[in-house]
Amino acid sequence: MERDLIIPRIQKTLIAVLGHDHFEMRDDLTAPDVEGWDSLTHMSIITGLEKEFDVRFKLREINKLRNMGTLIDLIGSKFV
Amino acid sequence: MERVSATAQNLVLLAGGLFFYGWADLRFLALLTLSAATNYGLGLAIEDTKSEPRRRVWFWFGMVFNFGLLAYFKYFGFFYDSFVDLLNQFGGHSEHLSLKIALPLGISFFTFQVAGYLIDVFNGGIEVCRKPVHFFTYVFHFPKLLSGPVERAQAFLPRLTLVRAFDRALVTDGARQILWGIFAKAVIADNLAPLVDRVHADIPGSGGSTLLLAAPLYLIQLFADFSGYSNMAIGTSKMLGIPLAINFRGPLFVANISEFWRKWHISLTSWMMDYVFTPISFLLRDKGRVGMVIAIFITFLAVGIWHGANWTFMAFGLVQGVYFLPLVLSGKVNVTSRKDRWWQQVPAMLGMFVLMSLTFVLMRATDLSAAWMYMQGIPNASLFETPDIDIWTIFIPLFVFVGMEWYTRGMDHALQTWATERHWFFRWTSYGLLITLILLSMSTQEAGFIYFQF
Amino acid sequence: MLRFLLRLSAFFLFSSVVYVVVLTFLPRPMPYRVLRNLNVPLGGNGHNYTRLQEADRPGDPEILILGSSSAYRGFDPRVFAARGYRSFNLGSSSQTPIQSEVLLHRYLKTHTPRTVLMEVAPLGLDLSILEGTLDLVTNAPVDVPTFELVVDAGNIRAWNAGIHALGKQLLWGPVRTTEMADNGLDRYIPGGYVERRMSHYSPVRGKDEPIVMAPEQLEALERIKATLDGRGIQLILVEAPVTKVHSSTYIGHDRYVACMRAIAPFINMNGVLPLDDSLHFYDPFHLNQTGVEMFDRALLDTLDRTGQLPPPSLRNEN
Repeated sequence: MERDLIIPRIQKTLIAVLGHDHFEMRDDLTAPDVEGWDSLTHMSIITGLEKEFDVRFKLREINKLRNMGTLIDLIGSKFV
Repeated sequence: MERVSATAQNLVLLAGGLFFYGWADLRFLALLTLSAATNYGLGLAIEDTKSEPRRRVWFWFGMVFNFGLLAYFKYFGFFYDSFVDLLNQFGGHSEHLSLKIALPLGISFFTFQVAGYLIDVFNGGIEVCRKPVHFFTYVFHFPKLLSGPVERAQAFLPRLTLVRAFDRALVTDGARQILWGIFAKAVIADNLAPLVDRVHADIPGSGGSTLLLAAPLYLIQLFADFSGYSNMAIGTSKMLGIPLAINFRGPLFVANISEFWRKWHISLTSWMMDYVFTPISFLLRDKGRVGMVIAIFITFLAVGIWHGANWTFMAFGLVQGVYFLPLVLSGKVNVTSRKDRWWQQVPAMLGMFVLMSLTFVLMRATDLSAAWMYMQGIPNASLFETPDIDIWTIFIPLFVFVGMEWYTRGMDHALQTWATERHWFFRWTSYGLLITLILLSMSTQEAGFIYFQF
Repeated sequence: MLRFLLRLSAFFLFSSVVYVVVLTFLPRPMPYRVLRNLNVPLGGNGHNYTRLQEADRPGDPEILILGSSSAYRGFDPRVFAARGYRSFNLGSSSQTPIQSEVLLHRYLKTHTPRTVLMEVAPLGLDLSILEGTLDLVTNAPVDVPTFELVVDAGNIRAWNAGIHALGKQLLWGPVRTTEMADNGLDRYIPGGYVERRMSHYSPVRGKDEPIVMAPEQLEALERIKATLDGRGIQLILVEAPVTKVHSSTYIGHDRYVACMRAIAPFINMNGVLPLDDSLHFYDPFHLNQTGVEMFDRALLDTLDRTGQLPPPSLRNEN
């Protein structure tokens, strides 16, 4: 799947979970940059993304996430 | 033009760390060195083994080794005693052996750092550390060795590969942080300690108002003691060019439980979140809120047990889990706290402060029945008497401490940006006044740090 | 880095100035225990201010008394006067030989006693010199020997009180206060004595305590002895009576006696008089007025018998 198609859907999921859109979808965006994205909400976001894209992540894949860029790449890799 | 290599600097740090630990607790220096060497080797084994089942074997061996060591020293006596109690409940006649296993200083902090490292290597979260000097320096870095912060390998190890040069801004910031730490520890915590100790030594003889006042005083004492220590440790490390993790960020002023744990003992909580909560909630992610609740309870039980082998600590963890229930069940965990004006948050903050004060009685009480007696003693006719706590000797410093902590509650430490934009005369005068206040109010008896024993 | 170290030194210098200025301008005495390490017992327990003021006035006592509260609460100049002796009691709270030496030197500048009676408490020879130093530095003008006591105490409370007193003295002159001669509990008697109104004590035995004799204290005693010898003044060391419950906790009393004897003539008045713990004391260490009078007469009898007293200067009418 194209990155350009993935990004808006991630954004939609984030807004649904966090309840706001005060963030910019940059590749170097990290969780601490986003109000409300902490360890507790992280898992809600992951499950939200799994539903949105109808994919399953592995724990190791989650652990390797560093920023938005790696998240987009991870989702992209599920559709290769 | 680099005259010193990072490795040479690390060797100096390592020698300092080994000396420091040996000086504090010579008996266990060999044990910790052996454990560090084992973990260094295990990291390499996990990384370099190609076969997945064998990698798992190495990994689980590491977990059992590290937590087994911790359990032996910290929890064995407790399990043994509880087992004997259980037998006696059912008519057995077992005797309590007096099992006094000496606790290696800082072993809880040590274990969590090396275990976290192995988990990260296993999960591919970080690259394995191949240089033994770097690894040992990470493990034995003296400012954090005895009482944290719980440093993450992924944040710490990369700093060790860089040559540290003298950085005036970093050094002065470190010095300011140490100054604030000394104030918190020597003036606030050490002066509150005898007041709180006296109440806990005689709970039945203390009136309701005394118990009610001693509870927040203990929360402030513990915060001042531990954040004071953390600030001294972090400040010292900063002066050596290695910033450490933040450990506290205004936890006395929070509007809900999740915010409290994001600001209290951050290095431990975030460890627990990443290595306990995340895997469990990931496994249970299809169970919805029930899965979330289970993960939270297990995580905070672990936080409680981390503090030591006592039912009070477990009860403390359980209660924290209960506090999370309304947030999780109403789905509010996910909702960002609105950007209220600070005065709109004050009622919630006061409520949280009282709630956490009463909850932390569990941390201080010697056992569950003492904590229960404490709670029962509060709603009482004596609640309306004048508290029997001589708070006046500590009143001025306490006012300065809480005031500054409030004023700078978003900062890394209270003096981080204090007057840095102002004229040097104003800035230096304020530091001079703080030093004077320390000299006029510091406790003059020897006192140990509360968190060394955890 | 050098520039930084210079700035750091400048900062510490600056902070010291802030510290001194703040202490100088803090009120004296501070409201009750607001700053726990600024303990300024001005006009406090023991009427030391009044005593030191009186000590500076001209007079010609032949007997000078030094020592702790057992001295200024145990040697009544009225009993001495009844036997024809002018005496002055320069005892002060928790005074140890190190402080006695400072007070003695100051006193000898203007007075010439013929005999010094020095009360040496077995438990008052260790290095806990903080309390006595605070009392002196607060109630007497600060001079170099007094400030040396502050340094010797090596305690932040001594430093705070010392700088506080010194700063005020430099700006506004020596300490001045009004001490009530009679505060309801204690009454100051001219001649340095303090009379306590309590008369009864219920004895309670404390823990055993080894007698610690710090070399510094013994050296101070030796120096006092040498100073007095040089001026032809005789020094007599006295162990004053304490309750039996208290003296039974002493460990190593024999060694203490031997040590004192080696320095100067020593009279042990403890345990030799028919004193009762309840009837003649008001606390473990202090005689009540009845006890004081018995003790003082017995002490003078002993001194008389051994010919250690100077000829009395006052004509006794009886």
